[in-house]
Amino acid sequence: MDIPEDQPLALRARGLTKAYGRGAARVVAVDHVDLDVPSGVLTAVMGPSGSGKTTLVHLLAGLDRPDAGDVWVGGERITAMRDRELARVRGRIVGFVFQGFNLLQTMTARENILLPLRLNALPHDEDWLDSLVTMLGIGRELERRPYEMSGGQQQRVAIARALITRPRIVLADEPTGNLDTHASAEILAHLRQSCRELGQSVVMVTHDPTAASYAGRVLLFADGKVAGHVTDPTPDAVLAGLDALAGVER
Amino acid sequence: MRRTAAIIAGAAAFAFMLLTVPWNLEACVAGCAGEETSLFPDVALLRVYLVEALVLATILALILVPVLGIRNAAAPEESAVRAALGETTHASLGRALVIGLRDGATAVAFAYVIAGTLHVGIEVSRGWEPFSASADAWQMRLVEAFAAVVALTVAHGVVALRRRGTPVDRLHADSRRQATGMPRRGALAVAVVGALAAGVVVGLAASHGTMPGYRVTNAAGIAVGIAWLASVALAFGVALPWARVLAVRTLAAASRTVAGFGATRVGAVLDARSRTGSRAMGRAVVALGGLAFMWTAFVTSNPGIEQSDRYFGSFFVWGDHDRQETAARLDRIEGVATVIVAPAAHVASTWKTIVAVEPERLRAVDPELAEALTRHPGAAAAGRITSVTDLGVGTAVPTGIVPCATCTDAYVDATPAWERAADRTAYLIYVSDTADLTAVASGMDGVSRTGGDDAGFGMSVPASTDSGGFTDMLLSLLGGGIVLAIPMAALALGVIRAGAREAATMAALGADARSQRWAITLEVWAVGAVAVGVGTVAGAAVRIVMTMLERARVSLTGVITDTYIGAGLDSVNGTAALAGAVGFTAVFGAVATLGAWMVRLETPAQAMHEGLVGVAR
Ligand SMILES: Nc1ncnc2c1ncn2[C@@H]1O[C@H](COP(=O)(O)OP(=O)(O)OP(=O)(O)O)[C@@H](O)[C@H]1O
Ligand SMILES: [Mg+2]
Repeated sequence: MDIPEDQPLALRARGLTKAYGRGAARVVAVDHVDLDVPSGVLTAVMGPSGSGKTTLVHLLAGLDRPDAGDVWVGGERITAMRDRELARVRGRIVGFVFQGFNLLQTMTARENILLPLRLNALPHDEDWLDSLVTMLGIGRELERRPYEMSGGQQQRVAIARALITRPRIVLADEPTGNLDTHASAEILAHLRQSCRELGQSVVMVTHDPTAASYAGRVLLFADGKVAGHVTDPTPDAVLAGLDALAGVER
Repeated sequence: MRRTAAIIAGAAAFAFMLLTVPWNLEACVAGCAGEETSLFPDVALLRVYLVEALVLATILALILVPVLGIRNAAAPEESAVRAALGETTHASLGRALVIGLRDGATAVAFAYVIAGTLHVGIEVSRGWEPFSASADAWQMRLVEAFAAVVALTVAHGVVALRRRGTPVDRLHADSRRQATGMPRRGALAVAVVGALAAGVVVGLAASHGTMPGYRVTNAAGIAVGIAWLASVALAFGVALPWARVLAVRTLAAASRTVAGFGATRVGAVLDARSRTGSRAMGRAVVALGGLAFMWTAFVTSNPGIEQSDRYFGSFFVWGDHDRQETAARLDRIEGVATVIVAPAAHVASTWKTIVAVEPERLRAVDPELAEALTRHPGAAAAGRITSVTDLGVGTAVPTGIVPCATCTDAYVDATPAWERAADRTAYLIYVSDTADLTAVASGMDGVSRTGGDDAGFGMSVPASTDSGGFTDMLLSLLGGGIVLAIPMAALALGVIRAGAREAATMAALGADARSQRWAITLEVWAVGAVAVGVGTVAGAAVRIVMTMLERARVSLTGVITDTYIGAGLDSVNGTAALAGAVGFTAVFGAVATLGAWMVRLETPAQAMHEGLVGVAR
């Protein structure tokens, strides 16, 4: 891989494997994946539906247990961790945006956003909340509950919830899938900026070549394996990469 | 929670079935004359059972509806999705009814077979022919089974019909804040109706001298029925929804307290759960509280005074005979301790026999009965559903009824009027501690065979109550309690599962499994205690009010024998209610605690995907 050796790694995976089901129904969602995600970089993961992207980011965030292989988060091997340490990693080091948002339905947007702070006994920073809310444009939604919001609004609340703890690593499963071009551009620009300026690392699953073009690096994922990558991508370069991938599949 | 609902229906039916198993069947020596079990039920009896069954079915359905509503908050209601895909209300109702019927029939068949096996087992082990004792228990259980099936079917139907708004509304409905029960005006209306009905009963009872007649008794009977329905509606429409609110407040307070003690994470999880789980939890509160309510108001109660358990039965002789001689011969039977001779009158139209006995003569052998007759001179101690109008003989009419659980015959203080009305002699037989009851029975047989030609004989034994002996009662209550505890356990697990997705989300946000387990533990104990507490208190209140009204009703045209409050308070079986409350809370809490700590640890990703377990790591 063409990552400079001196750059610290945010995430590292070796031989990462996860299969679902048994016998004929067995699906190897992630298949012996070796991966290095450098710090301070926005990484996009692209690939066909069902290729295992969600499974991969779940494993990287310590939300799921691999059948084989190991994951290191900031140098710590989370696959060997006990529950307490794992909870600390999930709560303080990693921020996660779920594909299905997973907002708590009877809490308001504000309560949802602040929940990680309470669960991890972290101090509440009103200015940070304000700036997130402004950046995401959800000021008017704060006192609403998820079912009173549109899909895109829920998605932005989920992003705020992932960022509120200022995690070193953000893993986001299609964070802009429900957003219009303008809103998604603003969020992506913000994520890229915080990677550059704050050294945050972001891994983002996306189906959108334009979104992927904000990334410093695009991983192409197919059939549970890393099938290639594009550095300094433009939308066209990403599309070309995807086409190549489709060609491989054919 | 379809399966949980079926388990609850089956278990509730089983709990009631256990009460009809002849736990205290006497040992039978040779060829006991048990009644034949008739396959064709006695219509009059069946009608009484059916009314009881309908009340039970109503309450059970009220419990089952919220249980069916408990589900994973993030999972859309299946029927809403089906509606969105074009299923008609008609089709969805049909499907729900079929499911309810099928589930109910399966659950109840199990209960019926097990109760029946117990019944036959007891008969055989005590020397009776199978199916020969307590014949009507089989029909009673059938009616109970029927009630449970109806309840489950109706509950499924209600849930299917509760299609408020569009499919989209309903997909979201479960996320909304919990409802807070009956609207104020509705509650007020129900309360007014109940109070009016109560007023009718009390008014009719208080106007002494009213000519006894079907209209009066029927009016009072209907009013009592309405009052019953009103109080059950208030319990489920006001008390239990209030318990929901109280439970949420308790949780909020608990979360603050826990956080105050330094367990901030547990506090935060608890706080989040207190809100996110409110819907599933709220339904559990109604179901749990409903079961506790049912237990206190229906399954356990003190039906009235009981005769001494040394009372063996009464021997009646009419026509010419030598009283002293008969008494002496009865007295000589091995095991007989005391024979009390008293005049008695038979009311042909109601098949009731009234024994006129001076309370002082009963004092030593039957203190409870003696006390009742002394306290209420002029009144009759009689079976629970007897009314004074059943007991009049000429001018001798009791002034009121003291309900007596074991009384087959009625007892009054001996007054000249009763002595004039008497047409036979009663020999009340009390046995000694160590008496061989079969020997006493055959001894009495002997006495009757040697009587004179002009004399007729009759025999009555104490009415079997559900509470024959104290230990038997305790056993069957315990059985009923344990059986009612099964739904509690199922509910506890259901509540944990319903919160699986939230638990997984919180795990993903950094809540460790230990904090979550502790939070669930605290939550279920607090919620269980609140629900069962409110249910028990509501049950006791309804029991008290309804006992008062029933007292008033049986005393129609007579005086009310006891103070209403006293009678009402007496009717609550305090020990059983308390034991039930503690037991149910403990079972619910313990099972949920076990569930929270033992449950297989799933990763958040797995738990979200499957939505099956409540703790994620
Ligand atoms: N819990 C599970 N049980 C069984 N199979 C699963 C489970 N989760 C995922 N799979 C299977 O694993 C494969 C990878 O799924 P995954 O969700 O990771 O795909 P994805 O790349 O995120 O797809 P999409 O772009 O549609 O979100 C799919 O074939 C899916 O059917
Ligand atoms: Mg996915």
